[in-house]
Parts: sequence; structure tokens; C-alpha cells
Amino acid sequence: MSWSAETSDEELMLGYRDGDAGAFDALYARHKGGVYRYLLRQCRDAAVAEELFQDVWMNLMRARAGYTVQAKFTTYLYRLAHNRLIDHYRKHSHAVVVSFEEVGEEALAEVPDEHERPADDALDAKRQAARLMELIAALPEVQREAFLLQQEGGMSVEEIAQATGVTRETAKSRLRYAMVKLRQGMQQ
Amino acid sequence: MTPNERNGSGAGGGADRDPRLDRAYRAGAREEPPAHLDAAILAAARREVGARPRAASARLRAWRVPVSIAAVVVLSVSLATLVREEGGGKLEQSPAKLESSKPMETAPVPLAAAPDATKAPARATPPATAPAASDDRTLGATASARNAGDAARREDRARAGQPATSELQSASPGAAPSPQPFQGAPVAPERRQAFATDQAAGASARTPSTGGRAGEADAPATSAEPASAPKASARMAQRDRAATEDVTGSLSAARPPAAVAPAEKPQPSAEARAVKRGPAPADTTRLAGLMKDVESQAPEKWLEKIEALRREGRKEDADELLAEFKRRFPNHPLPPGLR
Repeated sequence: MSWSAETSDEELMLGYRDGDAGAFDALYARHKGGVYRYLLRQCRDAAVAEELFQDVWMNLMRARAGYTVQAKFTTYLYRLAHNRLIDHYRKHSHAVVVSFEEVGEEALAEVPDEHERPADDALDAKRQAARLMELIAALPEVQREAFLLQQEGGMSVEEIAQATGVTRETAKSRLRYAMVKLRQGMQQ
Repeated sequence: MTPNERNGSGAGGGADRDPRLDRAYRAGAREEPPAHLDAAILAAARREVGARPRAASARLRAWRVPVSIAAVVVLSVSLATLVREEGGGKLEQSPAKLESSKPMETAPVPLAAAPDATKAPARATPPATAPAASDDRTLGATASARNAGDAARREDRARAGQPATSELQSASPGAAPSPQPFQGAPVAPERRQAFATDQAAGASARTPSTGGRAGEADAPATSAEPASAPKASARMAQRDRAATEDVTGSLSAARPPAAVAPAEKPQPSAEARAVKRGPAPADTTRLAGLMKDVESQAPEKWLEKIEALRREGRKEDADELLAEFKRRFPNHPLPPGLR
């Protein structure tokens, strides 16, 4: 069976569950980059990211038989990635710092509003991108995760909360703090 | 294309999104998994589907029962055909071999019934209901029917030119030229004598008109037998009757056919009882006397004796001995003069 661009992720996953390898090909093509970058930015090691990336997709394959549409497929996929990442952190005694609480309210107050920011037309897109990547890497992990899930997974706050297993408010706070820091960093 | 691009910048993050950050991120986030990783994952996905194909297994499950039934039917038909073509002959011959290997326990064949046997159905089965009959006449009749069936089978085989077991045995190098029972089977003298009497009794019962000639030619050879033969026969009959009653309970009671194990068992007693009512014992010893010289000999000796009797002009004796020979060696080829 051929799958078009209009076919939803959930339909593709159901197709793969029913034995259509072509559905998996389409699904993989859609999400491989986002999942890979999410893992790469989180663990900051290409080799580890590849290993985790492979594990995430293998877990998806193993779980295909019991797959039912209960949420957006993207949420399901990134939850698998999040869980695999947590396992990796635990295995390597990596302390996940819940850092949004460490960010003082004063820091938020210092962030200028988007409208007040001077347009930095002088910086070309490449430099801006490089700077943003540095800022993302410097973010606390949970905030970085929230931002990456928003960017790579196209998730809403609710979906980020679902994927990471936290409340909506927590997810919203994490995302908001991440955005503030990134804006601040881009202005400097 | 990332989900973010597919969904549009506003769909995912809503009000929490920053267009400038989105733009900058998309410009910088270009990393992709290596091609070898792609290939490995896609291959694994295909393996996963191939290893546990759900749809295919459902289709196979639907066909499992019909295919199994078809396989069983084909196997059964093949086996039946094979048995009929190859094993059937052996199975048909085996009772004859059994008969010839245990001459003392089989009922004598009514020689007069043999010619009529061609009219009987070729596949006449042994009378399964024979033991259920309670009177001697029925037992005798069923025994005759069984023997007629055997004779018919022998006739059919002879007409079809089917190679007999004994022919095959004699044709193979190193094989014994004569059937085993006449050389190796130990037979108690008492039972042998009783059997001879039974044989003679059967012959006399079938051909009462020949009773008058009993002592004519064979009297010297069988002069000692008439006195003891009836006693032995009676003992045999008593023993057979007792054995039958042990197995089946009362003879007169109606019994299911399966209750009587061997169908041949009641027949000797029936014949033995016929001895009691039969004509002269001297007549019954004539065939025993004829067989005395050749009974434990090879078939060739029998044929020699039959030919010798014919040369001597004793045609009836020769015919009787020939009939007995045919009964004992149904598959043995006969010389042209005796056919």
C-alpha cells in the first residue's frame, strides 16, 4: 500500500502494526530527524545519540502490536525517546536538574519583551543559528527538553506535559523559562 | 520536513512560540541520523514485520483446517491404494500360510465343496456370525462357507496367475523348497492322530458313498488307527468344546460375534461331532492312510505320490490326495498332468 503525505502518523503506525513495512518507512522518514536532534541536543554525544536513537525506534517496533491511537503519535514517539533518555541518565548517574526552579523570578523580569528587542539584522541567519544552538546547549535539561519537543515535535504545552510525564503547568513553566533564556541570549 | 513545519509554527507551541527563535532554530538544526543507522532501523522494521506477520498468520490460520483435512484424505487414499496393490496380496495369503503352518488347529476343508467354490463370492469373509449359531449343522455350514471362500480365493489367484508365496520362496536362492510347517513345526503324536481322524471324518462326511471302500487298498496301512481314532477325535472335540465354552460361555446362548475370538475354533469340534455321527471310521482313515507317507514331506513328494497313485489306477485316491494337496499348498504349481 502506498502512503501519501496526507496520511496521518497514526494511520501509518496502524498500518505498520498490521504488517505494512512501507508505513514504517514513511513514519521513519517523517520523524527520524526530529528524534535524532532531540536526543543529540540532550545527550550532546553523537555516538550516544545514535545508540539511543536506534533503541527508540526498536522500542517502537516492539510495541507496535499493542499500539492503539490514544494520543498524537508524535507524543507517543517522543515519550519513548524521553523514557529512553531518562534510562540513559540513570544508567550513567546523570543528575537531571530540575532547573526551572533555580531560575529566579528576577531573571524573567530582566528579559525584555519581544517588541522591545532591537532587530538585529546585522547578524546573518547562520550566526544566529549557531548562537541559538549554544544557548540551547546551555539550558537546563528539562527546559531544553521542553523547547526541543516544541521545536522538533511540534508539540503544544499539553503534549509536552504528556510526553514528559509532568503537569501542564510544569511543562508550561519549563518552556517559558527556556524561551526567556534563549531570547536573552540572542540579544546579547 | 519536521512536525513543526508540517503543523505550522503556531499549531504546536501556540502563544509560547517565538518566530525569531523558530527561524533561527530551523536554520541551525540540520543534523540527520547517519545513513547506516537508517538502513539498520528500516531493515529491523521489515524483519519485525516478516517475523510476526499478523495478516499473513490470520490468512494461514483460516487455511489450516482445510489443508490438514486434505492432507489426511490424500494420505489415507494413498495408503489404501498401496495396501490394496501391494500389501493386499500378502494379507490375503497370510491366512493360507497360517492354515498350512498349523494343520492341527484348522478345520478340514470339505473337498467336495471346492468345485462349488467358484460360484461363491470371491471375497467371502470368514463367518463372523458363525459362533452365534448354536447347533452343529449351522457350525458345519458356516465352516463350509468359509472353506468355500478360501477355495474361491485360491481359484481366483490361480486364474489370475498371481505368484504365490511358496513359489517366490522356492524361486529365491537359498530358500527352503518346502513350506516350514512340514519340517519344523513340532506336532504332538496324539494331536496328529486326532487330526488325521478328523480329516478322515470330514472326508467321509462329505463322501459317504465311498465309505464302503475304506479297507480296500489302505486297510493295511491304517489298520491300527480305526480303534484309537474315534477316541482321539472325541477327546479333541471335547477339548474344543470346552475351550469354546470357556471363551464364549454357553454354546447354546446367543452371543455377539466378537465374543468368540477365533472363528476357526468351533469348526474342528463341529467336524469332530460329525465324526461321531459319521459313517464308518474305516472310511475316514483312507485319506489319513494316503497322507501318511507324505504328510510331513515336501510338496514334491505329495505330487510324486499322487502321480504314483494315478499310475496304479487308483484315480479316486489320487484325486482325494490331490484335493488335500491343493488345500495344503494352494499356491504350489501343479504339473500339467494334474491340473
